[in-house]
Amino acid sequence: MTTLTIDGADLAWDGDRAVLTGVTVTARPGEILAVTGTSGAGKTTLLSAMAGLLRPAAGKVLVEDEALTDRDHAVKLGVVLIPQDNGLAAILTAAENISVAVIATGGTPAEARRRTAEALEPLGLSGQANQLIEELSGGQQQRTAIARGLALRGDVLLADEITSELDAANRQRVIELLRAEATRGAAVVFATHDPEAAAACDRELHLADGEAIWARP
Amino acid sequence: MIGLVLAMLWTRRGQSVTLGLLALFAVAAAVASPAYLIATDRAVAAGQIATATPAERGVVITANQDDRTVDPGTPDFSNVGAALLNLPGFGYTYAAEFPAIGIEKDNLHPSRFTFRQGVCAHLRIVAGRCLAGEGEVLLGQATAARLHLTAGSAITLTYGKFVDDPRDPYYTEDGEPKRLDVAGIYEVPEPGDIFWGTHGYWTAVPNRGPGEPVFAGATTLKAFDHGRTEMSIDGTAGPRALDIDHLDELRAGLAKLNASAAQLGPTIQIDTSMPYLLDRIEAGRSAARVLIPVLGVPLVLLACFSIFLAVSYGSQGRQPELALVALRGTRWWTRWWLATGESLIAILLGAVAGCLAGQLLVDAVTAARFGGIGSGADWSSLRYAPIAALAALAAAVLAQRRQLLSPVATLLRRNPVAANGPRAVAVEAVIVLLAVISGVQLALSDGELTGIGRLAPAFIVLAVALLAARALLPLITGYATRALRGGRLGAALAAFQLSRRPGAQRLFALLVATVAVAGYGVCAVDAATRGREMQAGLGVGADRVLTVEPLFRSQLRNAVEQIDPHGEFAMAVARMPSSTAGEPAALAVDATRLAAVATWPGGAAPAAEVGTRLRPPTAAPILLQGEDLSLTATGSGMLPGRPLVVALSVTSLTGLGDAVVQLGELHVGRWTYQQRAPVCAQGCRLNGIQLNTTATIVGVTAKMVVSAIGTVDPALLDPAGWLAPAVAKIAADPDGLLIDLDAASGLPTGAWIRPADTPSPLPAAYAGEAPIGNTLTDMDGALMPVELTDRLPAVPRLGQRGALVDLEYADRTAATAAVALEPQVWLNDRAPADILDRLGAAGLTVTGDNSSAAVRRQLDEQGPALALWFYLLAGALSVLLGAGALVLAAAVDRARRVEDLAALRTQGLRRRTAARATLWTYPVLVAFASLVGVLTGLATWAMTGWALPLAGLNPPSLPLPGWPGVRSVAVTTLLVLILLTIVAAGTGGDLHRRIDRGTGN
Ligand SMILES: Nc1ncnc2c1ncn2[C@@H]1O[C@H](COP(=O)(O)OP(=O)(O)O)[C@@H](O)[C@H]1O
Ligand SMILES: [Mg+2]
Repeated sequence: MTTLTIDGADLAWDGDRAVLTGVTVTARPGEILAVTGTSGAGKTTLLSAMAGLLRPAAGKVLVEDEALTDRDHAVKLGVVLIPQDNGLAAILTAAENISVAVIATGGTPAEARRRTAEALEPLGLSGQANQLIEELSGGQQQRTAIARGLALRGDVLLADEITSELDAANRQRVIELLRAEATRGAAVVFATHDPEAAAACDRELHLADGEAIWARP
Repeated sequence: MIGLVLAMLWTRRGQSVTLGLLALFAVAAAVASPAYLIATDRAVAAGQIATATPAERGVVITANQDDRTVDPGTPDFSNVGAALLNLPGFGYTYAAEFPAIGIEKDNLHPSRFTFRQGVCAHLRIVAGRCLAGEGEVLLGQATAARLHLTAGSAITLTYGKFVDDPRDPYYTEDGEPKRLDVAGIYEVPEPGDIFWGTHGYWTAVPNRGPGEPVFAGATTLKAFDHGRTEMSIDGTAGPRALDIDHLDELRAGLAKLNASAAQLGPTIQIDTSMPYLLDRIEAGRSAARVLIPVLGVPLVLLACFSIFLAVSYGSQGRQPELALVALRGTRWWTRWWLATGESLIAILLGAVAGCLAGQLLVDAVTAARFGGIGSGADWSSLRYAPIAALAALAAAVLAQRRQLLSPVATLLRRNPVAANGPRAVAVEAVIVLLAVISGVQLALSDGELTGIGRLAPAFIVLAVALLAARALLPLITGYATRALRGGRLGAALAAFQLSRRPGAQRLFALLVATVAVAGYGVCAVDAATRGREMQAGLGVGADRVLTVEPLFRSQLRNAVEQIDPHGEFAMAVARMPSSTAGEPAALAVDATRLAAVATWPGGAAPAAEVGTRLRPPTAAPILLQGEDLSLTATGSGMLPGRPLVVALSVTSLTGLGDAVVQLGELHVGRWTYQQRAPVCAQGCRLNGIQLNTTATIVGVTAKMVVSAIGTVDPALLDPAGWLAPAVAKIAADPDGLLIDLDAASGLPTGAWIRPADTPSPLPAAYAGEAPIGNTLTDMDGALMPVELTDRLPAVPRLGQRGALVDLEYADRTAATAAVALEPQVWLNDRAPADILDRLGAAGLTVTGDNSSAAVRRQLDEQGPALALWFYLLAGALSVLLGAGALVLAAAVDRARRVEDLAALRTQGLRRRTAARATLWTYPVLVAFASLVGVLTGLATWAMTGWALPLAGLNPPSLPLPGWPGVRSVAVTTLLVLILLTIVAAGTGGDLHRRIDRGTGN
């Protein structure tokens, strides 16, 4: 049961111009937190900070009271990220991408195989397991990235616009899977610009004009 | 439009520079081989001229003219000769000589009364002065001492006419005696100087010591009443005549000379070995012409291959941009120009630079290697530049065919390039097919490196490399999969990066091929070097081989024994005669010295053992004391009118020579036959007793009981100690040895009854096919059975077919007192420096001097050796090309790899694992490529290496090594591996920093 907290953080990429200022937000286990906002509002920036990829210019990012130092630290603390651009290695197949991630986060090879199969199946990708990423369509690639995020069984799951390339049925399926993650006890953060998807979440943080406002606390 | 393309060039300047460099390389390689060939042409000529023998540097015109009989209208020889010899750049020396007698005691060897133009400059006068006026002569020091003459003595000489008495030839006085004054006594400082030509002035006269002509001026000769005179003009080629740029003129001049001499008839004779020199130069050049393109072609092909790779990498990146151009519906030529212009300009610029670079590179290499032969730079090698440039352009266009021909929709879809698509397979199939065709052509033409056969090594390297890549990549993928299953992420990611990167297979094939070209080059160079070593070693026979004037074999052996009593450095060698076709050439050597002196073939039984087997212990020869020979024998059973004569064949024990001593007609009844034989003054060996008929009559019978030979122990007359020919039987008799002769078909060469002082049959070692019927021709010219003791890979000097016997044993079997054939003294490296003087003192006159070192020098300057330097150059260039391709591939890959690994790092991949994956990827690729490349090179060598004229187009009959040494191959592999690993490690260097930057770590 892990809680992720951002406390009064200013987030900037290059140090000069802050994308977000004074953000305070907590992602609690068992809940799905929606992060909404127009394109360019800073959703990815916020999730990057939560994932340890971006160090806040001011304020803190805490995982269970422990301040995040970098991404490796975040990985160790069970913070899983499904990046907006999927973050899949092109030289690997769908299944290999998942297996590598599972093994890299401490899973045994056998576990990796089992979890890979289990993760691909609900996303309808069993048939594509052994295809190279480049041979998959955009939607299939996105679902592969989601499958990997699920297979890692993180305590915190950060999902960045993971339904952007999916059809309605698949979108519904993914939200169900995120819900299942929350039910398992993970703190789920779901960045999306889709109000419908946001509506399915427990709480909603809206980003606009460099600030975070609780749309639904 | 041009502006747009130039802008494109600028934005992707890195890529354009790479492409330009590759084009430069291709064109440089294409220019380098013909440029090198031109340089080699010159270097071969220069090298062979520098190592030519004197006979190869001159022309001798001789004529025999008798001023007494010649009618006055005949043109003077010197005029005719001068007219003939208008070869440019030659220096001429006139000479004339006739035999004269009057000062020497015997008339068998007259004095050589000699005029030689400019002789004073080449003699050292040790007493008196040189020639000044008419009637003056110079005498040699040894001659003067022997005849007790000094400067100032007066002598009388008369023209000597040869009397051709078959039994006792001699010279007789024929003309007015001439009184002459000895002006001075001379010594010749350099008997081997080219000035003396090939007249053998200093050749020893038997029983008299060194030959020393009596020199006189031209007017003295004219004033001397003389008959037949030998006149000569020695033309010696000066540096201008043997100028490497004027060899064709020289050849034409020689041909003209021969033609005009032929018109003049047999009175004028022209001798020169110069054509051998010219032929050798030609042979060397032909070999170079065959050798150099063999690696020149693959070099250009590989450069084109890498251009193809470079352009296809580049254009993949540009695909969206090109799609946009196509989308706008521009006309096809605009689309083509925009698509290809960038590469074309880069390639064209590179090509122009390549012309220069190729020529400069070769100039640098030849200046370093050949030095001082003049550049001879003609730019004709540039004619290949456009071809190479076109090939480079074709490769570039081919690489972009997708972008040029595909519909817009395909271009817009950013799907991966199917590297293993049917078209790629088809291209590979075509290359494999070409390899097979050219290989088969090469095999069928028996190694003719012409036409498509010449391309065999290039295509085979390429085909094997492609097949190896095709076979190896699935293995690497399999390994990666297993590594992943085993949880070894670093290894798995590195291996996947290798096997799945776009164009991985082609990159691997290119690396393998470039290493293979280097490996092939090293195979050729090393095998050729070892071959030359063998040619200079085994082919010569020993470190130094001196050919001496004909003399008896016993004299040769005695002389060698005298200068080297303990068998440390010298060995006597003579050739065995051969009497039947298909009989191997055979050498008779001093078998006890074989191990110490001869260069022995590898893979044979040790020389010492073979020597021992050639000389098994045997009965001692029968020795005779003193010069008065006697034979006591009882004759009977001779048919009337068919008399027999008895003779003894003897050999001096002290080097006085051999003789067949006639004892006269065989009488009925007991008789003691006596004869004086000066050769036996210090003891003799009895070679045999001959019974001969005086004429060609048939049906000869006789019985002869030999009861005493000089003071020889009568016990030695036991028939067991004697051998008889088929026409005679020997048996014991109370009185001694009974010889029962019954020659129904006569005795064409006499019947020799020999002491059994040699093993019979004579042991012989052989190489190649065994002598037919186990027989060799003995020293007397008759077939003798031999016992084959050893089979050798090669006989020193004779090569892959030949035989060896022991010289002394072979000499003992001979009875006819004939001189040795090609007598030689073989020396090893421990021979003293003054060996020539020692041989002279021992009575040997050296006429030929060959050495391993000289042959080695000559071979090292010959076409194949010089051409093979290009192989090293090509090998190095090829590896550099591979390294360049590696850098290019790594650069193209970099963005993608950073992206992939950064993504994986975000997902939790440890830094160490990622570092391992980046660090090992290319080094592992390089290690594989080096290993497979060298193996490919060896495989190609196995298939085509035999066809290379490494030892010239007409190689000597020696078991020349077909393979390089293990060490050279290992060292090359290591060097290539180290070089490529350094390059590979360099490419992975900054990767993980970039990866970290992408992951906020
Ligand atoms: N990795 C990055 N490096 C630099 N700037 C970035 C990065 N990601 C986002 N930005 C900047 O941060 C701002 C917010 O973008 P982003 O967080 O991606 O918005 P959203 O995800 O809501 O569309 C943009 O101005 C974008 O240029
Ligand atoms: Mg975003």
